[in-house]
Amino acid sequence: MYHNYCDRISRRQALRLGSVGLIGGLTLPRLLELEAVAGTGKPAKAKSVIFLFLEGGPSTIDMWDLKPDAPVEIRGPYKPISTNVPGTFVGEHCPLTARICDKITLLRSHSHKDNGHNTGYHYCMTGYKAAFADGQAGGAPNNLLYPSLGSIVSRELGPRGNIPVYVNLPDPMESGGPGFYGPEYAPFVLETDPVQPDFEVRDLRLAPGVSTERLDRRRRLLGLMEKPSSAGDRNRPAVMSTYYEKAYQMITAPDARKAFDIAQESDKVRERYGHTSLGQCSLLARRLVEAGSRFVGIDNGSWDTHFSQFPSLKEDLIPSADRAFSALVTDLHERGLLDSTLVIMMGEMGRTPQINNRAGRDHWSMTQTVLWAGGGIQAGQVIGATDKHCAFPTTEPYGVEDVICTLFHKLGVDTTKTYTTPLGRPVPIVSGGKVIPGLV
Amino acid sequence: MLNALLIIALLGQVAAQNVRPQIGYVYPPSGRAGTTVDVQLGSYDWTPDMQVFVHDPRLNIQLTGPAGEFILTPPPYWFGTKAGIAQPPLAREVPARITIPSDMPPGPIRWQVANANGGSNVGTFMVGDLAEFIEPEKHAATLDVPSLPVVISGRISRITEIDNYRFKTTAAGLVTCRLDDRLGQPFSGMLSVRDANGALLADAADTIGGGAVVMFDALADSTYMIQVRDIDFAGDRGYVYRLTIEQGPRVVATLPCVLARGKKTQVEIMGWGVATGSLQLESITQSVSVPANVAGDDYPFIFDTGSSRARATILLGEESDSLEPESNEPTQRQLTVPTAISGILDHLDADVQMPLDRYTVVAKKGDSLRFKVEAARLNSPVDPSIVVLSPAGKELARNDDLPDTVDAAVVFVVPEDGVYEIQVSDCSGVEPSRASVYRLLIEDLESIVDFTLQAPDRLDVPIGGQAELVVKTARRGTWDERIELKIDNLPLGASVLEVPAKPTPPTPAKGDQRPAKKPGTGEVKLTITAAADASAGSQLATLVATATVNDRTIEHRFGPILISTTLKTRCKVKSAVQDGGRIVNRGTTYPADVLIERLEGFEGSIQLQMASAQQRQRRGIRGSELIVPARVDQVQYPVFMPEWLETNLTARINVIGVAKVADPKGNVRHVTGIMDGFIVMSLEGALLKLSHEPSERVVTLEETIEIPLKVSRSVRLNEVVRLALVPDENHPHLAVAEPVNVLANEGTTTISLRIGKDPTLVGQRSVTIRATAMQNGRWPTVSETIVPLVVQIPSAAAEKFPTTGP
Repeated sequence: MYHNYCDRISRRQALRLGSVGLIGGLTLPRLLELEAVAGTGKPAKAKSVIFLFLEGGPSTIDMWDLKPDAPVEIRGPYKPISTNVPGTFVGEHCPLTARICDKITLLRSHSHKDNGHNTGYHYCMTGYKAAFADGQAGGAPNNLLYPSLGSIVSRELGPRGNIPVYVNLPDPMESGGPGFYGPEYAPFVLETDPVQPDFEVRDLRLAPGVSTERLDRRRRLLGLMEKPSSAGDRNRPAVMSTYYEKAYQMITAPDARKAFDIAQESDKVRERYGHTSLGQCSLLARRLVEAGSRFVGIDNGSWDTHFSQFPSLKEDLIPSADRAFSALVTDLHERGLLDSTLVIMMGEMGRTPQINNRAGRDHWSMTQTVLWAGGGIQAGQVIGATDKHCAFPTTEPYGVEDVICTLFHKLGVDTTKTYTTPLGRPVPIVSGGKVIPGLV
Repeated sequence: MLNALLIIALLGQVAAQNVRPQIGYVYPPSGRAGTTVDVQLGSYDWTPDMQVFVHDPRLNIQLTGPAGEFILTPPPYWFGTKAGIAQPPLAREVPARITIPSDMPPGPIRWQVANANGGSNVGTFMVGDLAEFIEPEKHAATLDVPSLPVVISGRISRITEIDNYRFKTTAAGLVTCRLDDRLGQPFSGMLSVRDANGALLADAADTIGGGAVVMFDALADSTYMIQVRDIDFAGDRGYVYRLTIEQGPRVVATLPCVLARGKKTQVEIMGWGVATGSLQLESITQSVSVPANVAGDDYPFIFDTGSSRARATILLGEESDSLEPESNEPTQRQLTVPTAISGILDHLDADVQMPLDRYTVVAKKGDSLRFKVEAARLNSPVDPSIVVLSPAGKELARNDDLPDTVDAAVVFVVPEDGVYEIQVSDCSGVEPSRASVYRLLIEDLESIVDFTLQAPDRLDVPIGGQAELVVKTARRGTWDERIELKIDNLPLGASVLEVPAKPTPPTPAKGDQRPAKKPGTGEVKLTITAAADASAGSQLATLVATATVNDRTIEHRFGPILISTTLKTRCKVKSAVQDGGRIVNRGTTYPADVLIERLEGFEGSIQLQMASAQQRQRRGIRGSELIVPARVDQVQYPVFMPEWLETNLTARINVIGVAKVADPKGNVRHVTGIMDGFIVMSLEGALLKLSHEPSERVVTLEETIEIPLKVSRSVRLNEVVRLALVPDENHPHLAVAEPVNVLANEGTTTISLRIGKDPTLVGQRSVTIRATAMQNGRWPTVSETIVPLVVQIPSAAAEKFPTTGP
């Protein structure tokens, strides 16, 4: 649950628009430069990903894979309810998702062997096991070598319009860094919660006292400073100028500001997503992919429920996730965006079948139900199963690499690609894994 | 089904227990002998019925009032990675008066407190003999220190705080500034000295907990600045310090290191400026006579530097140390047993290229010898290591550090007749110098009859129950006679149940103990009982240990030990929702469901209050004081969550319960009960935000201005928002404003601000406007905005008043 942020250079830092420096303090050009050289993948239905990460490890045995016939210390207090897909049941506190099960797929046999928070987060977000012990990451992002999914997608697919390619909401994802790809593939981070009534993205606002006229003067000054002064300079492509210009366009163009302006949504829509951080982040994520973002990672904490978990699961955590996820999928569907937007909701692990003696459940990575929607997946089904106690998969287990392979596959990203670190080490964008059968 | 889960949950609950009071700090942390000092005691989990125990009865500490409110950590706060750094507990300050007799020698005075829940840790108050200067609560950016020498009592009370002092010298010469930063909550102090032009003259950081010292050559009639801060720019109310600034020499060592009482000896006094008064390490030799009847372990004396007189202290022992032989030739460095040598590791050994001294000892097969190198007690920079080589040059024994000290010692049984080499070296890495002194002690264990004692500094014994005092004894020598233990001055109703016949079990020999072939070191558990009808009370007790060996009786005392007879807790407090927590919005009041379980037949009311030791995000989170009436076992405990808390970090708060209970003698005491777990809150964005358009507002005295404000609110907050000016502690007359109410359908408003007329208000100021909505009619939701102002004098009056603002 502790996921603070200390990037070496974050995209947020790179996007201090309108605060200091030339062109409103903008270093976005560097980002835009690299986005322009990004390769494109194979043709695919999915153009974007919304990745809802329930940090701490959601108790999916109480949400998506209930065991009503198990002993009370395993099945817990919640009852299963039927869904709009005959034969598929979910937990009683997920009634909204129950109504859209025809649009989603429950992967119940997700399984891996990393029971740590930091290490599990690292594994799920990069596809590589952490080189540090859990709790010893020493800062965020903790994926200093391996790039996160968002960074890979950012590099492979590149931008769509004047909108950040890779965004973290509302806070930096603990393992959401760019790794050896460098800061140009770091996420754009809001560091403010869209549930706040005064929510706005400061990076897209001119600093107090800086008018658009003043910004324009700064731009012209920059143009004079960057004017080639020698033959050598003249031979150098005016790359930075080009990207400063694009950054300028992004500040002055309405697209980005409009995408982040969640206040434009009606009260009814905002209510539909729920006035929670997860709900409003999901709504903002929809606006961002609609505007062109490729990967929006939502970091939602507080799922590490070791003690007396049932009141908070019932009152806060599950209803928040149920409402946000179902509203997101439904909204995307209604807007015709679901096919082009892959939605995944998962945590770094599930929780133990056995309720502990303090009425909570502990870490359990051997089973977790992962929710999939959109992006052209086969919907309305359940893939995989767990045993009578939800302790182990009884069908083929699908690990982190399989999830990532499938995600990349749906985006048309070539999963056989390898990049080389500055020290010459080849790092495949995904280490093994396969596309999950039945999901595509 | 839920009942079954609750039963399961009950199995793993934390045992109910009292919350013992703790001492955090004293401010000011020092006082001059012969004065009475009003202080604030930084208390953790004290109750109104505290007893104070001073280890030195000459000094008196009298509580003069009740504890104040919890002092929440003020801004600024660390966010991100550094937010996870452990923070000291939150204190409530208790006013007290400390009376120091005029004949009190300088040094630390230890003290403890106790209540019906147990005894506290040991606190420290320093007694000095120099002029004292206390950093006031509010002050200018730089404080002028009256004159040297001086002791400054200060504190680094918040993150990023830097204390600046300015002082003047009247004469040229060496100035020494010493920072003691471990008197309250320990911090790593950083000292820096600059001249009047701001040029850095010297700086030092306390990285090992021994304080920081800087020295520099001062000019006559010059001004200098000294800064104190934490090395990491941390801060806390408990970061109290004592900064001593003196002009004159600074003694670092004497040779010999130890003198016997009643003897006159030539002593080489080593230190900075002891001969010339300038910034260089030098020595001066003088004759020192130690009176035969002097008490204590050391002897302070005055010596002549040539140009002035200065103070030094030398350790006392049964015999004066011999000096290290001047020759480096091993044959000239043969020692006899027993012996005590004062030596210096001031050069590098040609073979091993590190500071190393070699000695030889003639020993016979079967001798039990103990070699010990002391440095810590001498305040020497040396980190000694000792090696014993056989006559054939084979390493037989080696030790670097003994437990809890850098000193080294080895004990071994001589395997064969011969000449053994003893190597003493310095592992500190510090440049060797004449300050690198050490003592080498060689003892024949067969001839030694002595022992050491170790025990905790406090013990709590429940009334009607018992507790064990673990006493560690370490025999020096080869004797095995019984050590008798007793405890003097137990609290009324307490008694020692039994004393084991022999300490058990012996532990393996280590450097500071005798060989393992005979039992020597052991642990004794003294069982102390408190009668069922005993009152709740405490006493400073003394452990007395006696052994008689060969008709010689040796007695050692250990103490004081604060022994308390305590009342069992009467309540257990538990949050209905723990890990994971409920979602709570920033700036709101979270009514946490708290369960109260009454114990031991108690049926009365219980007061809930914050515990001093808090957890994540203690940045302004405030728990209330709430009385839970009799027969009520679940309440909503209000916790206010400031609007600046991080949303990517759960917040936690610990609460304790306090019950008023009569002890068996009818004395009403306050009995605490710890919380089982903690209240956890998952933070999300605020429901209410108050803001103003950022701009520079220039106002004049007595002017009324309108400040436009924007009130943003969540659809979940429909209550009336009340806007009001927050009183400014530093400038209480800066401005006044009538409160404004903002309805749910209103997003903007203005507040009228009337600036005060006091000319001292001129300058850059700010006012804080607070918006408050009572959610559900009960729970405050708060947002604040700070409006900067530039206050000017009206042009018509500009000539009349001088401007004083920055």
